[in-house]
Amino acid sequence: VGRLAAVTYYLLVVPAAAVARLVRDPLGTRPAESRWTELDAPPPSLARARRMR
Amino acid sequence: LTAILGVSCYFHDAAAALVRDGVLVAAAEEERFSRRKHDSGFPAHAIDFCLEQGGLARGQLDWVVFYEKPVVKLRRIAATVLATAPHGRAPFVRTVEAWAGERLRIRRRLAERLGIPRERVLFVDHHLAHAASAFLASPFEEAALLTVDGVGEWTTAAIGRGADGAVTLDRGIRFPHSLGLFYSAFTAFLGFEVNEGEYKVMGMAPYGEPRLVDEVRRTIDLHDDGSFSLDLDFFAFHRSLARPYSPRFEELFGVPAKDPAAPFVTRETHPDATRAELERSRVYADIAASAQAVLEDAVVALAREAHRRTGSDSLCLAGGVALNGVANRRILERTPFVHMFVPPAPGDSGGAVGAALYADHVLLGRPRRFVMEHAYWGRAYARAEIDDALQAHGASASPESSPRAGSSAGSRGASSGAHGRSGTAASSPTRARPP
Repeated sequence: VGRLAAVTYYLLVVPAAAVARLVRDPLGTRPAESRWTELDAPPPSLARARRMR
Repeated sequence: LTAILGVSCYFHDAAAALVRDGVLVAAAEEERFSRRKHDSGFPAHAIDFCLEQGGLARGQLDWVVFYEKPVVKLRRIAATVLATAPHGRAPFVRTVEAWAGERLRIRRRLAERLGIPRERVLFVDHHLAHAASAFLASPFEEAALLTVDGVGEWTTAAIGRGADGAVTLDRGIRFPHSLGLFYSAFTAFLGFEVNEGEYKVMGMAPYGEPRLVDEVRRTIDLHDDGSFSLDLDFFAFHRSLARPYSPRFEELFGVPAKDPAAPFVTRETHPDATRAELERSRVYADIAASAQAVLEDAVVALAREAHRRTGSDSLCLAGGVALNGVANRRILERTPFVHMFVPPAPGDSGGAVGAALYADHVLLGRPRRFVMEHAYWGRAYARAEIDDALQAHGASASPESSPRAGSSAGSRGASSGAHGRSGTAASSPTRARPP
């Protein structure tokens, strides 16, 4: 699994990452005045808690 | 009776907790049974202990609640891989190896192990589990909530409010901006193990002077609204398994990372130490003092924001950073909060307690029936068992009564209080007011 993952990393992840970084900041590392984000979670429910998300 | 098992595992400090009819019955960390410090594996022994303590057989649980959402966490890890390529091969390979195993099949593993239908396995946000572990174990009817840790799914710190029927977190700070990971970088730099030696940094701080605060503040920006940003040029936790700080971090302090094998010396503890040895240790102590001072400023700023938004006199605090008791005290000294509750296991192990209490009170809508008055939710050891263990190791001991038994903090060792049961975590619950 480790070797397959390493090959996948260079063949797929690295090119995909280059494209992804062109369109967005995946980790939100650009300078900001504030780092607060609204956690606008929906009301808790059993149904949502059952889903593994 | 409704029996709910909370489970936390696969990061560090795996644990299980049983809540029956709204009351905590048992809680234990897997390390107490496996004898592996900070054991992160599936907590089979801790689960068995909880079931035994509750007099429950396989198949008799109503709900099992996992303390975080694995798929959301995996998305965060994937985003991190994308953001750090091509420098993150090692973390990527380790992630694939770990997640290709049982992590994504935790629902099935829990259902099969416990003999319940899969739809009886629930998932709660990591920081909600932290917040619930504090508020739903506290004596407060309402309180401001503050959670601060390394990282859960995406969130590293959150503020919100607890009141009857609700545990709500409405603002958060997202990975990679993390006070827990900030402090862990200093932990590693000072020669200690991450997720283990943070308390040693806190303990080293009083030996130094916070004369390097300006240097530390170059790695973290504390914003006016209580939030903060890490300068990732100084950190490597998001792209390296070897160490959480970057070469630029080392340049900042002008000294190499402390050799873990090198002793930390002071004039009192090592009267024969040379001047050079004392000076070198003093620099590391100054770094610890400076990192601690900045952490305290950041935690106090978060708490002030929680107070500003809720107006509550009471604060419930959880997350791994809440293990920093010195920073906790600063909250009482430097914010308007009058009352504060910190559960005995504010870190990930306590997430098992929080997940179970959250399901009972919030998801199932049952009334609160529990206040955590002590930390002794682990296994009890009969006198004969203790004698047998001593004999097996060629040791002997005589009982000694202590007037403080039961009110003193439980240690991470095999301590037991007046309840005769071992502690679940690093300390007793903290219910504090300023002097």
